[in-house]
Amino acid sequence: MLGAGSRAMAADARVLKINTLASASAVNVPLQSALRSGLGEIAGFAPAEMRPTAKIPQIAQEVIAGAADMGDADIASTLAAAEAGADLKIIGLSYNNTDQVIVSNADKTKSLADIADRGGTIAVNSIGDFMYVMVLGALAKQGIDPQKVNFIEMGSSGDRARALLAGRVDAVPMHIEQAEQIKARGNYQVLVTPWKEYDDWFSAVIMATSGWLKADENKKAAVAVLKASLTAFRKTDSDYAWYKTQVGKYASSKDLKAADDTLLKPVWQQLTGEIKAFSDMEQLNPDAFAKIMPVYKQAGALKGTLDLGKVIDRTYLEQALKELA
Amino acid sequence: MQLGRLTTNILGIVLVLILWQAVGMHLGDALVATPVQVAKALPETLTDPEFWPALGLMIGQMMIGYLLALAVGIPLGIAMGRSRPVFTVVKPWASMFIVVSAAALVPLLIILMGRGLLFRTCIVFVATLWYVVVSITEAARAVSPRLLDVAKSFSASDFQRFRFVILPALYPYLLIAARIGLIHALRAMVTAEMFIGAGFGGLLNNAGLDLSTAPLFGLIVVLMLVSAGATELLRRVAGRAAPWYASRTGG
Amino acid sequence: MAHLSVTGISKTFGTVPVLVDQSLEVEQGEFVALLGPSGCGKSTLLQIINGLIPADSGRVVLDGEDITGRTGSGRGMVFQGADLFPWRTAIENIAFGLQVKGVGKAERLERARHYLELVGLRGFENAWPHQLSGGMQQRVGIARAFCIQPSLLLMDEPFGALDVQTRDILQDELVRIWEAEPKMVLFVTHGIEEALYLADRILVFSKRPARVLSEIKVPFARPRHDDMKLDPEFLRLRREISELLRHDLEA
Repeated sequence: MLGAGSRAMAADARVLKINTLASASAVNVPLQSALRSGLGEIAGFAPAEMRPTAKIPQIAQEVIAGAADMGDADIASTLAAAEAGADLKIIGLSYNNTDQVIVSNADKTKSLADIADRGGTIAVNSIGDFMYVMVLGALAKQGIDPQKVNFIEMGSSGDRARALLAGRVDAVPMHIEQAEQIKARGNYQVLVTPWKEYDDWFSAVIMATSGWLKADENKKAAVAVLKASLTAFRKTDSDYAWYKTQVGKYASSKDLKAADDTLLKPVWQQLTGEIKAFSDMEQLNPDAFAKIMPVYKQAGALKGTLDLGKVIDRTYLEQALKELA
Repeated sequence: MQLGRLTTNILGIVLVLILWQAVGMHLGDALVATPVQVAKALPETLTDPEFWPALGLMIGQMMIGYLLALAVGIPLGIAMGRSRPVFTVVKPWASMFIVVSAAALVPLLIILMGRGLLFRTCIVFVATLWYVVVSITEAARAVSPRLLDVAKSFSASDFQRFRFVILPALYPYLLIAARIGLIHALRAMVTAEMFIGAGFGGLLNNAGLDLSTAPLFGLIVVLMLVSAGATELLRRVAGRAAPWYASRTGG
Repeated sequence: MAHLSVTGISKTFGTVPVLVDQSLEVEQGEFVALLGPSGCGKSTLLQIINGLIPADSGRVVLDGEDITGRTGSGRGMVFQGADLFPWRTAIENIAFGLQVKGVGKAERLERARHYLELVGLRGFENAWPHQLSGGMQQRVGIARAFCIQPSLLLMDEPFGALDVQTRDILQDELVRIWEAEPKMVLFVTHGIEEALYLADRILVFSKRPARVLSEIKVPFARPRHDDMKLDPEFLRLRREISELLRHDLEA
């Protein structure tokens, strides 16, 4: 039901190319909703052309190569690229805090130490990504030698969950909704709750290159993307019914799309409550990043030579917050 | 005899289904969904509004790269098989490219040409071309020199020997190359689509997130049927167009 | 008057001399057998006359025309293993030479049918070569050579791959067809009996490099019959040639 005016506007509305993960879980839905529909409600912008990407490091690579305007990229590959000399800016957070939990079969495994003692195996998406670092960090916190644990690359969380069900691996990081779903299939319990271990562990960021951000129209686009994201985050925090409809539209898994309140409501409560996954991207600041850097350094994923103040750029977030106020 | 073959085929399929059912019941649907569970999940998959457009898009876009690969690969393969200089120049490239998997090229090609039709055509073309070239080359090299001598002794010109000996001798191999190429084209297309979460590959990605493997296996079964159907179609074309070959191999 | 004149042919493969200054003449309607041990070079001489192998020196003149180093014109070749085109039916194989010459389809098939019937294959027009026995395949091979109505028929051990019974039958068939359409024949064989039974004249070749050890006029009248193989003269000639060859091999 566009009026004549807004239709004219829609005609020359800008379509941003944004690279993102190939699969959207419960924690990804607000950003997906913001970019796929919310952005279109901002004057001068159409819904973004979302470009799902199966290999996580490829997201940042395509932004650096100029094949995409912005990326919803993982923090490890983004900072690693910046360390390698790519002129990148992190301008927002895809979510404020991770929702990943490490799950095991409680009949066999009671703790991470159990796994280390018998030389067990943990499956991650890919070696070196935020999930891998997160597990290493958890091991380090409990004083466990990571050399005693085997890591294997298993790809998507669905494949990881199946590996756990088959008893092929001892523990697997997965999204909280999957941790809920898998409980129905045996005595599967959460072994580590990273957001409790680290306070905040943000794993995905909204990023672009400095070169791209120089043009005024791109600056405007960056603000628009953040406005749409903040709006979706706030709506998620305040309105479960809205969030549920967005999950039905934008979640990748059919199981999650069709999830009823008994599954989804507790997930939403955790995401917005305990985890504080959304709100206003408060964690986008060098201090918060600095807190997690040692874990990345320890894991060998980053050298830690980066001036975080130069990579993290709050300008567009401040502008977006001001315009929304 | 035809009937006997049919019975054997059906018996083989039934045996596999029984085995699959047994394994699935033993391991549970999160690991291996049983054929019965897959059959139950299929109607929902087939009525998903995204399914048919995704399948059509995949096959349609794949055909462009595939046909291009045949159009380039067949003449190139014949030239390589029949001309020493062409063989010497092209063979090292063919051996090199044929071992590079589509999955390894996808990231590079995405950065070079985006994710649109150009990228998909290109990845299918690259993944298919060299299999076509290599099989045609081998066939062209193997064309019987004695039969070429027969033609020559009947004073056939170079063109007549190409037209009356080399082409018909290659005919069955053209269709074999087309069949091998099709399998590689389909595989490359699915790999590419899974990588960028588009089309049928995107559906496979999403189905892989669910704990039950029934919808995923349903999509894989569809993929197998597409592949088997297309190769069977090519086999029939071959049988009709090259009856001397079909009646010799009993196909 | 049809006439073949071959003079001063020499041929060396690498450093191995195969033929040194060989000459021969064939008169109209004459059936000449080239007899010698396997690998002596008699087949090479035939291929030089056929034009498939270039000679190092020497000339081949057929019916007054110098045809050295060229194929076609006036010669029809029957190959050892029949060497039919597997993608052509019997009648299409027979019509091949006419098709190369550009004879229209209806006419060439009509002429091919005549030769198909002449070699006793009526009813097998549309059979594929692999559906025919070895003897039947060679009948097609003979018909294919006759169909272009050459003045010189070249036969390179045409019955060498057949079993004895089939060979005996085909020898009689060949003579019958040849008597119906007489022409010059050069028949390469290593079978003494075969040469005596078929030829008017036999050139007995030495081991490599081939040279004519002896020229034998076969004294038997035509039509010939199987029982002539028991004739004392036949047996005497057979022994004489056999000893000639053995003596040469042991020298």
